[in-house]
Amino acid sequence: MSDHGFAFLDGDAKKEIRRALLKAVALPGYIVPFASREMPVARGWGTGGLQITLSIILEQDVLKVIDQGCDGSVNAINIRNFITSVTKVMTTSKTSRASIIQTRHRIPEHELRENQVLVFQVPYPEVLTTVEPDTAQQKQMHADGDYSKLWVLLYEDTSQYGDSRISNRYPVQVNNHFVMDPSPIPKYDIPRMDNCPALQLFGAGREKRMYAIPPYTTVKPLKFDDREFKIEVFPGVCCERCGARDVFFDEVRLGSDRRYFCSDTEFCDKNMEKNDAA
Amino acid sequence: MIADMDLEQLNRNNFRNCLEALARPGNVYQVYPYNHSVIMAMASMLLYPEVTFYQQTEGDWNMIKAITGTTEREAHEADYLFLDVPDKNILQDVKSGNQQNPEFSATLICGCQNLKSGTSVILSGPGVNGRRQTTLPAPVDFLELLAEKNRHFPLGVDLYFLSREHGICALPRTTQVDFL
Amino acid sequence: MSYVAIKGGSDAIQSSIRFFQNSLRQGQVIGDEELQKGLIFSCDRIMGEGALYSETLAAEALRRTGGDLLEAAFYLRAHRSTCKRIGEATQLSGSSMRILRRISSAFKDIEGGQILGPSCDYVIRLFRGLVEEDEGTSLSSGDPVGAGVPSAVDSLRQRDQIVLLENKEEQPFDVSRSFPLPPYPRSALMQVMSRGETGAMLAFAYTSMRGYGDVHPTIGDLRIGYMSVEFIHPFTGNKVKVGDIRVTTCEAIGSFNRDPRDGKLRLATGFGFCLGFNETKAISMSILDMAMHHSGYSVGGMDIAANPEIIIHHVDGIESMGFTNHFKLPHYVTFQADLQVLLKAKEQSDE
Repeated sequence: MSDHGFAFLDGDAKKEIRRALLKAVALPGYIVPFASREMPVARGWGTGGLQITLSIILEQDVLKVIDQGCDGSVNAINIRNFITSVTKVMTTSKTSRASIIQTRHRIPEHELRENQVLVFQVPYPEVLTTVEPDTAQQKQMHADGDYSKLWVLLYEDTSQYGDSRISNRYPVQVNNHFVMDPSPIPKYDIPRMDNCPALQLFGAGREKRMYAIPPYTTVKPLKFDDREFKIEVFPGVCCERCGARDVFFDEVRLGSDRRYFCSDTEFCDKNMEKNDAA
Repeated sequence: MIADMDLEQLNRNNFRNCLEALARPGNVYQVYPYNHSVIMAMASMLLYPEVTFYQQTEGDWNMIKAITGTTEREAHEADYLFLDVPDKNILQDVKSGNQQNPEFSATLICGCQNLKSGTSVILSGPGVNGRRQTTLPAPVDFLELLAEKNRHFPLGVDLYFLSREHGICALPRTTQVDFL
Repeated sequence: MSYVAIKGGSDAIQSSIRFFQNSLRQGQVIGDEELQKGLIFSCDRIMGEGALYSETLAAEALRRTGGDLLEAAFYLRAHRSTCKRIGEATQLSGSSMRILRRISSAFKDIEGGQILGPSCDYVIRLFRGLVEEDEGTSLSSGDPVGAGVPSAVDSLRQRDQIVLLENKEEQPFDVSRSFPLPPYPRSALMQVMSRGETGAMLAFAYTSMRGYGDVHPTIGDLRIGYMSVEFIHPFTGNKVKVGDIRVTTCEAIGSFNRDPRDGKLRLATGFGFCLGFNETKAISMSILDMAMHHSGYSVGGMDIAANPEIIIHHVDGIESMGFTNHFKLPHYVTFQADLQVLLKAKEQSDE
């Protein structure tokens, strides 16, 4: 029963996923439908990212898996264990050493480089879902470049609340054409997608879509010209562990006590090493 | 390393290089041949029952059909076209998708002698860090027709050049090609 | 201290899995046959929703999941991803079924007869009395009472009183191999429904019966029984029998309207099919099929069940269960981002 080949999926399944990946790279920001396979982990738990990773991974790859920026979180460990059990690849928590990084909800703080692939797990691939649930309509709106419903939403929010109420999954325009959902990363990570040297791949297993941002591609958040795109800020906060400032933080509340730690745990560990050396 | 690779291993290594080539136009990667042919290796990697192909090259295509379960079609219907040389007449015919489904477009795999000689060009667009000077193994009129096919993004065709020296480089439809 | 709590750790996962498995260990001694025969409707739901006909794996999945049917069906689906598809079976016809039970609510007297067969329809649901033991009978290998019995709806077709659901597709669509795009081919919708979660199918079908739609179905022909699956051997070209499967089929009849093809009045109809014995699901599917393909027949304006976009994306239990449970995963980052947006909006609007 457990006798399957390298990387779990059968050959035809990989070819279908690979077809969609190549189309995705050639069409930056366009969501490519594909015949998503059922994985041994549940839908919504990273089956899209998993299918991409399993279809691109080679024996010589070094894999890093994070969830919420953390290599040690339960879901990251579970996915990493599954991938290594079917591929025997090496794993690492060091961003700089990894050739494939599968992530949920964050982009690592450490700058990515050219020969790295960042694989995002995506719950809602269609950026228009919140304003238009019908698939045929969504396709037509993308074809017409008609993102007016998103602009109206942005306008209404700005007039009522001073800014967009979208806290994560902030819509971005890729290569000045398609508007896409960047997956539930915080706004802090949005500018870091722009002109990134690494290849960024996005997989939504349940919704059966994938998309990509090739390296060195323009990625801009949807915003009015006279408004600033505001990322999350933590004024006066530094990491209680490593002392880092101006990064994305996890907030830990113990009673009335609020404490902050780096959301990217490997980044935090590396700072600790540097502190110890100094 | 190549000799003891099984077919799936060959496919996944070739796919990864193919993906890198498409993501970084102008860069040359390696393809491991299958049955002494890099075109056959690409066919084995890309084809499966749900896609179609057209070919105008030497090679044991009956074997490819048998192991991949793929259907052969006319040039204007095919998802993947395997050609010995960049052929303008075929490029003219191939599908370039529609506005709702731009991925319903053709992918060309063109053979060539090598990737070092040919038309001098400057590439720009997604995957290229700024601008990049290189040569493409296709005549000017072929590249002009390609630019014409790719004028109305997201419609267009994606193209790979495969050399007899086992090199691969790609031109996705997003790449702007300027002649020197 | 609190920082460590954010990390789950491999040990925690392993312990949690062991705890779960240990708590189900009494189930491990239940044999395949007991499960396959004694809990046949559980096994049939698992195979139907798991989209894989294997009684062995269904029993194994049932043991591994402590009887959680959706979770067990998930095991079969995941296993399916690793199986190579050899090809397509030859087309089956409902009339080829070796019938164990067959009823029609449309006509009293039908060719082949009303065959009540094994059913819980008329059971008084009280915990009184004991189950009588009768050696040798079981549904999973019961003796069929009829074969080659035509559908009770055929007589309506012969008299041109009912819509013919024509087959316009050269090849059936396979949603497990290609992604369906709107307008969805009927075969893609049928496949999704046939793999659908029984409860979801029932709920959507129910909406069409009471206000959000206008379906008042009559069951034309409902049957359970056995069918032989055949396959053309790729090398010899001969027909070979792959095996027998238990199935349920249902043809529903709806209200009449003008057939858009030629303007004549005809009754609406719909078809339901699933692996295993599951009458509730087959009836629900026939109602949904009817609702989606005869939406013009409805007088209501709030159809949920008649919208293929709703049905194709919302009846799959493996998908909806997975996504619903994923909310248990950490969402620290997105929630932190939410809080920041809330604080900024409060500054602006509470001023």
